[in-house]
Amino acid sequence: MWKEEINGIGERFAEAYSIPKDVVANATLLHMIGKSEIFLENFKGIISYTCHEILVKGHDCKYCISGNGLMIAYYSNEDMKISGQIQEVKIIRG
Amino acid sequence: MQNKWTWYVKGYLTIRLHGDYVERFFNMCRMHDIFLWNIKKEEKDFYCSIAAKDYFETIPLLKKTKTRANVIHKNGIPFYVPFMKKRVLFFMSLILCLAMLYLVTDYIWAIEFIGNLQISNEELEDFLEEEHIFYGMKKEALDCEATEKRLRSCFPIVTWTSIYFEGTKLYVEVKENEKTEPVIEEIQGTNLVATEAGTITSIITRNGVPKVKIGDVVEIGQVLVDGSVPIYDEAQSIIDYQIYNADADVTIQTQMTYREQLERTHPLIQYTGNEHKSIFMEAFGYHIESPVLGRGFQGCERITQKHQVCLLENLYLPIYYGNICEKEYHLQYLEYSEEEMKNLLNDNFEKFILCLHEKGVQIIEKNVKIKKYNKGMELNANLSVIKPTGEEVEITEIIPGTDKKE
Repeated sequence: MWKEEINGIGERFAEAYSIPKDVVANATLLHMIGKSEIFLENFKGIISYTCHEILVKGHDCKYCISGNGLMIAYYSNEDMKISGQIQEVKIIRG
Repeated sequence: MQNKWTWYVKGYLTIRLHGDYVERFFNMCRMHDIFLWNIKKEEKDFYCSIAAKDYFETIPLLKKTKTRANVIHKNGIPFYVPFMKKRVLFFMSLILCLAMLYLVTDYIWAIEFIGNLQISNEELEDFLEEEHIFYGMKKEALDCEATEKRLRSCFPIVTWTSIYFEGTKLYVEVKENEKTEPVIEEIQGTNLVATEAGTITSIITRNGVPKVKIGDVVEIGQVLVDGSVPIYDEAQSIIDYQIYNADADVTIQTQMTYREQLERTHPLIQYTGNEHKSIFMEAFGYHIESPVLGRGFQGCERITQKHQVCLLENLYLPIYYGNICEKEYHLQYLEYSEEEMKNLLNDNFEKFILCLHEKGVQIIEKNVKIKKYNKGMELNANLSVIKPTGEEVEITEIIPGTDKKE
């Protein structure tokens, strides 16, 4: 509960001072190009990986990317790129 | 992220991973700043690419996550070093060849003229020679724009020109004035002088003052039409001279001689049918020719076909190749009969007469004699002809005319 409140304050602060929200609220940045490429930044790591589903751990939630022939084009300390036939991007809270 | 070529230069591995905690291994790699790419899963195994130098750093992580790794493929230049070590000479010559190619492409090795119809290739070649543009010169040394300007000023008929390179070839592209309007010449002032000695038979003056009349006997170099026209005042005395280019149709009756000797014995080339073919190569002033067995014809005709090496359409190199064909012949000396000699001399004389007719020369009288001499026969002809005369010569001094207008 208190985490959400802090995030709320952070978001308002970011809006007020025009600062990127992902920096202030420590949020994961997802950048999708069409339906075949997705870039992720500011995440914690991979929880599971199959060619149909990739589960990525964010700071306060999980991101489930499902599709066909999913492949991690690169995986580095800063970001990662997933390519393949993406069908669904799901946020799992908690 | 570094690009594909950087990884290729540094060397990278394609590995297969198997285990229950491979995702954890990926996360640990990430925490240790080990870059992974092309991660994919096929059945139970994971495949990924990793930099060769990072692979040894992953060994403790593999142990910790109980993951088994197999190297599937080694890629990149570092893995070719042992292969290259065994073939040092090959790679050295390859590098040398590339270096030579790089050096050679800085020079001009071919020149082509485009669009010249009235100006001949030889004239353009002469112009380039004057401009010190030649095969084998450095491209940098050529100032295309300045040369274009000079080309336009040198050939007034050229309305547009472009000098450019494609590979090692220099293109000289010109556009000539298609309308054949006569170029207005600046009046410099010229006299018309006689080119032969003889008697004037007709004179029609367009410009200038005629200095001779029909029936006058003239010498070579004598002024026929004067380009300086006197201007008279009201008292009919000369106050000044106006300078023109003298122009007139003048014909002169003069004598011409024709003499031709024909020797009785004449050589005739007879091919034996023996021929030798060889190939050759030329580079940087060196000529290498394939040896031919039995070479050594005393008399032979040599036909050479030469080609320049050209890469990728326009990259001409200073290397030439081709073939040489030598055909053996013997010289056989034959003798003409008197009849043949007479016919030949007469034929040649007829051709000469025809040539004179084409030039507008009218023959009034001809005296032809054929006589024998110790080696053969000769034809002597004296012709009395009426032909156009007059050559433009620049006015150096004004010939004083009469003070009073006639």
